[in-house]
Formats: sequence, C-alpha cells, structure tokens
Amino acid sequence: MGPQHPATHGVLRLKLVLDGEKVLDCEAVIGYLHRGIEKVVESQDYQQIPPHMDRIDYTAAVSNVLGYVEAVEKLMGVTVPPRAQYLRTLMTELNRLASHLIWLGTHALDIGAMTVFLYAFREREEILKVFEACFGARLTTHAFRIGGLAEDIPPGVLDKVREFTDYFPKRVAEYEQLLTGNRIWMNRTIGVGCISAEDAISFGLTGPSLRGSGVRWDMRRAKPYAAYADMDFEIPIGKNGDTFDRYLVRMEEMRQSNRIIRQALDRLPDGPVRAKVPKVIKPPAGEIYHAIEAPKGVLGYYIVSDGSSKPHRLRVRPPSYFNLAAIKKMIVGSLVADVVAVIGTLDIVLGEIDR
Amino acid sequence: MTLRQLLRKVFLIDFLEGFAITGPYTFKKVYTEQYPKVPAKVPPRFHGAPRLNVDPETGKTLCIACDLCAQACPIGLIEVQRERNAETKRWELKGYTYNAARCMFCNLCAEACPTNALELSQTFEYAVYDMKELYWDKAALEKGPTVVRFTK
Amino acid sequence: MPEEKSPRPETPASPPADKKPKPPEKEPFSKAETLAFLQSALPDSFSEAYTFLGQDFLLVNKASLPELAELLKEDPSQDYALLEDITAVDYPQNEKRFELIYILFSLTRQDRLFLKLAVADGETAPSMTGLWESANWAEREIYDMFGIRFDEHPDLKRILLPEDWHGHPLRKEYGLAQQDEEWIARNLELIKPQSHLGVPSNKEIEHLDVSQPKS
Ligand code: SF4
Ligand code: SF4
Repeated sequence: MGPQHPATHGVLRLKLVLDGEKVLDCEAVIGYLHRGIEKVVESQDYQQIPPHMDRIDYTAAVSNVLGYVEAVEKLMGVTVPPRAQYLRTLMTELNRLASHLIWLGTHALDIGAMTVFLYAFREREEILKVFEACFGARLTTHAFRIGGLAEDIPPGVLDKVREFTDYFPKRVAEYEQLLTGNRIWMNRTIGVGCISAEDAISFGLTGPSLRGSGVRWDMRRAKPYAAYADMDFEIPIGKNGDTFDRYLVRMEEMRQSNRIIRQALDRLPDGPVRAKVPKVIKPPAGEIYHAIEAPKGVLGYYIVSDGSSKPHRLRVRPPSYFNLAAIKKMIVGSLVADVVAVIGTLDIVLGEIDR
Repeated sequence: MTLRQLLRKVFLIDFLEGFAITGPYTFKKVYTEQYPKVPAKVPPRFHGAPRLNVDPETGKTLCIACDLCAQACPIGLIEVQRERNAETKRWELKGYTYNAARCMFCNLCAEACPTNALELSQTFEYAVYDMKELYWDKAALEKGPTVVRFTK
Repeated sequence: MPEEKSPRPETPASPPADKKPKPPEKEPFSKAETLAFLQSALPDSFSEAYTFLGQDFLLVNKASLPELAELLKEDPSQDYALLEDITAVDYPQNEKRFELIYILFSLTRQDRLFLKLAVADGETAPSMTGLWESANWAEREIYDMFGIRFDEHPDLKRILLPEDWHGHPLRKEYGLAQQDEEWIARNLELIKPQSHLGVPSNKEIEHLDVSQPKS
C-alpha cells in the first residue's frame, strides 16, 4: 500500500502480508520525504532555524517553533515577557485546533464521512486567517523568535479569536452529532486498532494516541511550559485504546483547547512581547532537552551547543515517528479496510517522520 | 441490544440526526470564497512577493547596500553586488538579485533591513511558467511582479 | 498598501536584567535517592553523575547499561517506564567519538533521566529493544544517520535512507550537500544530479538572462 495513496496522508509505504482480507504482517517503509533537516540546521545560525522547524510538522508549525525557541531560551537563560508567554500559549492552542481539525476531516473522509471534512476545514480556515493576520503566513508561519514574538499581534485579532471561541464548541457538538452516534462510524472505529496501556508506553506512544489507552499523561501538565502552568484544563483519557476512544479524546481535547484559549484571552497581560536578546545568538556551551506537547504527541528538541552561533547537533524527537512504529502492533490481525482507519487515528504527518 | 438501541435503529435516528445538521446548511450563507473571480484580500502583514522600496520623492532606492539581508537569509538566496565608493567610503549598490524560486517567505531578510528597503509585499500572484523568471533583479524588484490574469 | 507595514516599530525592550547571565555549569546530581539506590544496587555501572540545567545525566559504562536500564525501568521506586528518545551526538575530536543519549521518563514521578554512553567508531552498543519497543526505530535511525551498530537488534537496517545508500549523513565529516552519487546515478537515471530540481545555484544566476517578469 502506498507510497502514493490518499489514505496514507503523505508518502508512506506499508508492506502488508495478507491472507484474504486479513493482515498477517506489516512493515512501514518511510523516508520518502527525508530532507535532512537535522543536518541542514547544523549549518545555520540559531535565529535562522525556526523557518526550517516550521517544515517538520507542517500542520502544526507554531508548536514546532515554540518547542525550538523555548529550548534555546532555556539554554541561554532568557526570560520571556509574560505577554509573549500568553500569546504563545494562545497561538499554540489555536494551532492544536487546526491540527486536530485536519485530523478529524481527513480521518472522517477516509472512513467515508464527507461532510465533516468540509465543516472541519471551514473552521480551520478561520484559524489560518488569524495566523495570516498575525504572522503573515498561513501554514509555515515562522511565528516566534528567540526571546518572544517578532512583533505584537495586530489590533482586532483578539476580538476575532474571541468570536471564534464563542461558536467553536457548538461546531464541535455538530461534528459529534454527525459522527459519535453514527452507526457506520461506530462500526468502523470501535474495537479497531486496539493497543493496551503497557504496549502504548513501551512503544513510546505519546499525545492523544497514548491517552486513548487510558494513560493520563500530558506534557503541558507534567512539565509546564509557556503559560500552561496558569491554565485550568482537563486531560481527557480513553478506556479501551481503540480508534473510537482516540477519536473521543481528540474531540474533548478540542473543547479543552478552546477553554485554554478563552483563559489566555481573558488574562492576557500588557507589556513587551520580546525580551532583549543579542543580535547574534550564541548560547553557552552545553546541552538541553526540551519537550512540549504538540498536537500529535511529545515533541522534543535536544540541542547541543558548542558556544558558537550554530548548533553542534539538533535532534528533533518527532511524535509521529514513534506513533507510527506502533502500527504493526495495532493492525496485525485486523482487516485491510481497518488499516486506513488506523493510519488516520494515529494522526501522522510524514514530514515530521522523515524530517 | 437494548430496546432503545433497537428503536433508534428502526427509526433511523442517527441518520436523521445527521440530516438535522446538514439540512439547514442549504439555507445558510455560503462560506466558499470565489477566489479567481473575486480577488482575495490578504492582511497587511502578509509575506508575499519581495519588493525593493524606492524613495517616493526622488525615485532613488532606499537600499544602502549593507548586505544584512543576504546574511540573514537562511538559504542565502539574496545577492547584493556592491562596490565601495573610493571618495565617500560608502557601499554603493551595483546589482541585486533575489531568487524567489527558493524563498520560503520567512521575513528574516525584511526584518534585518535597517532602512525598510526590502519588504515582502502583499502580492501573492506571481506564478510563472518558467522558473528562470523568478530570479528578480533590482529593476524587477522595484517594479514588483506584474499580475497576469488569464481569461478564456 | 505599505502604510501599515513600512516603519516597523522598535520592540520595547524589557527591563534590563543584571548583566550577562552566568554560563550554566555542571552541578552535583540532584536525585539523591536514585543515586544512592544505584550505588547500592549496581555500584560500578556509571562513571559520573551530574546535573546540568536541571537535567540529570548519568555517564554509563557500556557493559552495565542493559542491567542499569532494566533496573531503572522495573524497580517500583524508580519506574522509568517510558523511553522518550534515543539520540546520538558526534564529537569527532573525542577518543570515543559518539555519545548515545537515552532519555527516560517516569510517569509516576514526572521527571526525566538522561543516560549517556560513549561509543567509539566501529564499536557496537547494546540494544534496548528487549526493554522498550520504542528503541527499535530510534536505534535504526541512529544506525542510519551515524553508523553505530546495536547488538541483538532484531531488524537493524536503514530507515530513512535507501537500504543500499553509502555513508552516514549526520557524521561531521559528511558534507552538507554530499550525496551518494553512485546511488543516484543508478536509481535516478532520468534526472541529472546537478540540476535535479531545475534550480541553478545562486552562483549560476549571474550567467542567466535575468529578465523582468513577463507581463
Ligand atoms: S523571506 Fe526568508 S528565505 Fe526568503 S529571502 Fe528573506 S530571509 Fe531568505
Ligand atoms: S538589508 Fe536592506 S539596505 Fe541592506 S542591502 Fe539588504 S535591502 Fe539593502
């Protein structure tokens, strides 16, 4: 199956061994999108790297850049002004919504629900308009700079976001009404792609894929970053670890993200949005690992600095890479048609897997 | 299967619930943008085609040939050809090329520019058939890309 | 159009912090009970323990790594159940040039532990696949990118690059634009390596006819 298959969400090739309709063995072949980003950034200055980070997981560019700039700030000991922290939280959560909406739309489309795709992309469009107004681009936003934001967000955007948060929960309820009780949806997802909590931990699954198996672990809680320590939100978990539970977890996560955005809007402090950082960024020699909860799971950055203006090594821990590794466990023994559902529920982005 | 579930199945409740959502959209406002017919509006911060600004009064370029934009670019696609004027000891701009085919519109170059000479404008309709047409020199950058509209 | 964009306002500076922050330094290991526990259970398993910027590192000896990892994972007082990542760093000037870094996470204690293992070029490292499934792909990627082999790995082959590719790109001596020309010639005959995207390099632009965009 693949590499050019619409249901693989990119260029993923799965070697399947079949017995009739049943999957006996599976091997994922990846690397079609390998661009060598980890090598390229070794030749770039620290402030030139965020645009490359955008392109790791292009559906969640804002979170990627957040993880990177926070890692560098931690290494340099820079304190980011509170307004920038809140704006970062707000934008990252909007990005989480955008990413989850893509997942919902494409996942539903794969399983055969066309309408949800259109509705989800309509809401995503509103979020992308916000990004466009604030950062000048829709997907590869280059949102944050080391030390804060490039400039404060333009006036009027916050009202737009507030309006969005007002009607968004109603829209989520609409999707749920279309899918959750839907007989076809339930038959296609319940009991499909099960993974137990122990296996999920052993495979290094993170994000909603892990929480669907009932492990309450979220980096926003475990090691708060940006302004998440001040935010009040819940971490939804599933029970059975099947596709339906992961679907419910992500739906609830969207509501919680909406809550976080509301809180960030209400408490947004005034002040500067960028700390004073030198023109040429030279972090002290040393190494840092910083991980954030990206929409797809734990996104970690391991940066080794040798004191010069270019990193000695920058390792990205991509959540999708580890999530995809578990696919064999999840689909062996099920039907070919379920493979599509499982790829969708893992919410992978090949740009992030191959880097 | 409980009685409730059976009744739901017999009366196609989940089916009707779906229609309760999709049906009313027949009467709601259409969300789709009619892009090529109705020109799309982009916000002022949009990072589109690059432009070298000129002084509106004298028509001279604002660029002081400091090369900062070329150094800021992660890809190194800007080339500033310059010469030092022997008398004034200042850099003089001889030529400027911008390889828009490789640009990722990150705005780092425009942020580095001390005189706001280089700017990413709001134009986004610069698609061309031949990639070579995306190497813009100083004159092309000052003029900005020309939007070609094809009609039937 | 350019009104709103042109003069970029200076970002107001935040109140100046006290001069230059001191560069971070190694501190004594912050997890005292973990250290005491390991010292009593496996006294010679690690050569150094320190904390850097709030991260706890253990420099592990190669022979005792599997035992140590198993102890950290299984013992209820430690419970590092999740292997978050394995990565490697290349230090060409070191005698043992590669450093493997194992990032463990404990879900009950909500903290991380970093294990470091120095590996020389050509030396193998013990595989963690028996303990954590996530090590499987992580080790394959390290083999692909650095050429470090792992003992007892069930399926050690390249993952991101083609299987018959030569060279390991994340080694420092591997050039930025270096490619396995032979492989490309063999597999991508249709496309000439030099201009395989049709994009001349910036140096080539000068020879091009740079005309104004057609109107
Ligand atoms: S926008 Fe970015 S990629 Fe393009 S020329 Fe400027 S700095 Fe380079
Ligand atoms: S940074 Fe601005 S002034 Fe300097 S060379 Fe580039 S365009 Fe000209």
